[in-house]
Amino acid sequence: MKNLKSVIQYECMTSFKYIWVFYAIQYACVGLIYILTGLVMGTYEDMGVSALEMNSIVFVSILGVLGFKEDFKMLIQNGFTRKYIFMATLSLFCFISGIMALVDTVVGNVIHYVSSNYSSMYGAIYGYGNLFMNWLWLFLLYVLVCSLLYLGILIINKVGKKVSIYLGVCLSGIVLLIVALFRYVFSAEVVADMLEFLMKAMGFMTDGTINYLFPALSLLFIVIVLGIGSYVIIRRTELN
Amino acid sequence: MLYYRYKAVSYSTNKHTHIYTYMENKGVIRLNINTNIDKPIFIQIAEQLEDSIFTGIFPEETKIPSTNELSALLNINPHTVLKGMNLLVDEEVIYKKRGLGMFVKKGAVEKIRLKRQSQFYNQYVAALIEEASKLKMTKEEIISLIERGYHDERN
Amino acid sequence: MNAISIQNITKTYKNVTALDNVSFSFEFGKIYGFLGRNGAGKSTLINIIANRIFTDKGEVFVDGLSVKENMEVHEKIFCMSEEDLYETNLKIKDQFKWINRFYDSFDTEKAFEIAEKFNLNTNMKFKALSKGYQSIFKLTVALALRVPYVIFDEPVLGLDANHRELFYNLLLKEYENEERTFIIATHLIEEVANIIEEVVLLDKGKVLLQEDVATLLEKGYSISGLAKDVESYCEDKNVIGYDELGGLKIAYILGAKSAVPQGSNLQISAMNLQKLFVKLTEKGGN
Repeated sequence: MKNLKSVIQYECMTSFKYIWVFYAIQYACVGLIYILTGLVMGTYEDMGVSALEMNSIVFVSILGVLGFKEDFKMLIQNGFTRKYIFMATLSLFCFISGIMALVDTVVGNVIHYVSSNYSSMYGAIYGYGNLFMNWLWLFLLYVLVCSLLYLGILIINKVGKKVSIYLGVCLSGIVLLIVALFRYVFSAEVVADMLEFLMKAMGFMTDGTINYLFPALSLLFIVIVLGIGSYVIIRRTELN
Repeated sequence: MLYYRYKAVSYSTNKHTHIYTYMENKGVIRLNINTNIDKPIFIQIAEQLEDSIFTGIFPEETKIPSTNELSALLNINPHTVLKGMNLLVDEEVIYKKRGLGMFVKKGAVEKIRLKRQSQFYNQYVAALIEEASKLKMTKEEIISLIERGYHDERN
Repeated sequence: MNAISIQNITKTYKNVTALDNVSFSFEFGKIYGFLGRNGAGKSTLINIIANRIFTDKGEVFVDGLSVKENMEVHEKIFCMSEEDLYETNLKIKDQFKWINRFYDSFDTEKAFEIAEKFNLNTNMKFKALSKGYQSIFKLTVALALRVPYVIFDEPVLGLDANHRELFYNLLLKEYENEERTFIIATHLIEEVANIIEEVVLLDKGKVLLQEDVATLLEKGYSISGLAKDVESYCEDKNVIGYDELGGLKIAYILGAKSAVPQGSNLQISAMNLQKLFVKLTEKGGN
């Protein structure tokens, strides 16, 4: 267990500083744009940046990609099993996502409170006020993005570049097929049912109320599926 | 850190490792391990330690360098060094003091002398005669050469 | 049994068989030379032992424990790899710090001591080091780890003569300090000839030979003379190779020596490890 702790520490501590670098750059940019536009337009009314969470999503997806390559080598050299590496990586994703979700929740709500022009991503969908659910949702969303990209990079590493491209083509084919199914094959009723299901999964009930728990559970479910997928692949991953 | 008690100068070429070790107040041991000749390394080690004892570099009842020291100095596997030392233990030239290391046995020099005297005939006389007969030299010529040798030596 | 036990390992890459049903053991308490030509399968086997890649068939055990995805062997074995697997952005002293957290048996103090002997600047990042110093960093880690089995894959790559001597020296000292197994995979056979006790020679994915060095050197010899004489001498011998120089012929033989027939000009001489291996691996090769 001491080993697991050390490897989780390694993952988290070597990535930790990048969060602050990221935020420093993000807010510097936002501030700069804000001031510049303000100067040019002559007014600070009617302008705003929304959904800064998008930047965080970009950041965590980079993390998901980088989470594999360098650390896998380093940790396998130091005698860790793939199981430990997986657990450490997942811990890293949770750690980073947790912190970033917290910052984004607090900042999003504060900015929204100060200037109602700004809306956070969660706020725009589910409204403001429930800080904990806001955090949980963002947290799970970030973990999901990390896991998705992590799974992606694991697959690419496993099957090689060439096959990956074919897989990518197949994947877009499947998407087109699904769209086609919706448009031409399924009856309007089936489509409506599916949409209703998706809306419910996102927390929008048919009676117009919002269930805050459902979206979190849906995200959690997807994270678990991606996690299992990643685990299955990393257990078979060789160093190349 | 015993290694640093000896100021060792070593240089090596492809074929030889020469080590000159200056031991405190003990003169110089010259160990010359040649990896390219027929003789196994452990025998070379035994022979050279024996020679150092015979010439008095390691007087009787004093400690000789440990396996570790020799192994580190010569970059030779300690088991090989130990094998060499064990040859000398078997010949009762050195002995092990528990916890202290290897020591030169009392009477070792005399023992070595006797051994070498007994080998003298095979090693030198027989070889001399063989070579002389190849060169078609007579017994009288050889004897006169030996006498000349002793004569030159004295002057 | 205390050993790294390699049992029936087969590993194939696409159509190339890198290891073909290989079985042997590295016993505890010896220094091994793990030799073979490029592409013989040394690195593949080391990577399998280090759980970096998997086997198609067979298994490797360290003191009876399977090395495949098993944290129980973590404190038992360490493989210094020829490839650079370390996080390149970390400073050397931070690498030590982390390795110390990863391994109970890592001696940080010793690592700094060894680094100092090599003049390795611990304030530098791994990627800023020269090739030679990257090797030095890696072997410093391996030397400072007190695990029972340590494998070095091309440890002296890029090191100058002084540093190579220092490495062999430190290796022997560590070996004396604490009984364990060192396995050195290398091309520089003559350099390690006196250090190693036993050799394992891999050729084309198979174990060609595993033998005590002293025994091997006793068995291997060459005989030179007139071609006709050499040939008749070699009739009942295990000849591993020939060289010819006009009328002079040299045969390289593995096995017991027999006396040279009277009146012939045959000359017997010793063969060093390097020559022995070149001759052994040439057979059926180029």
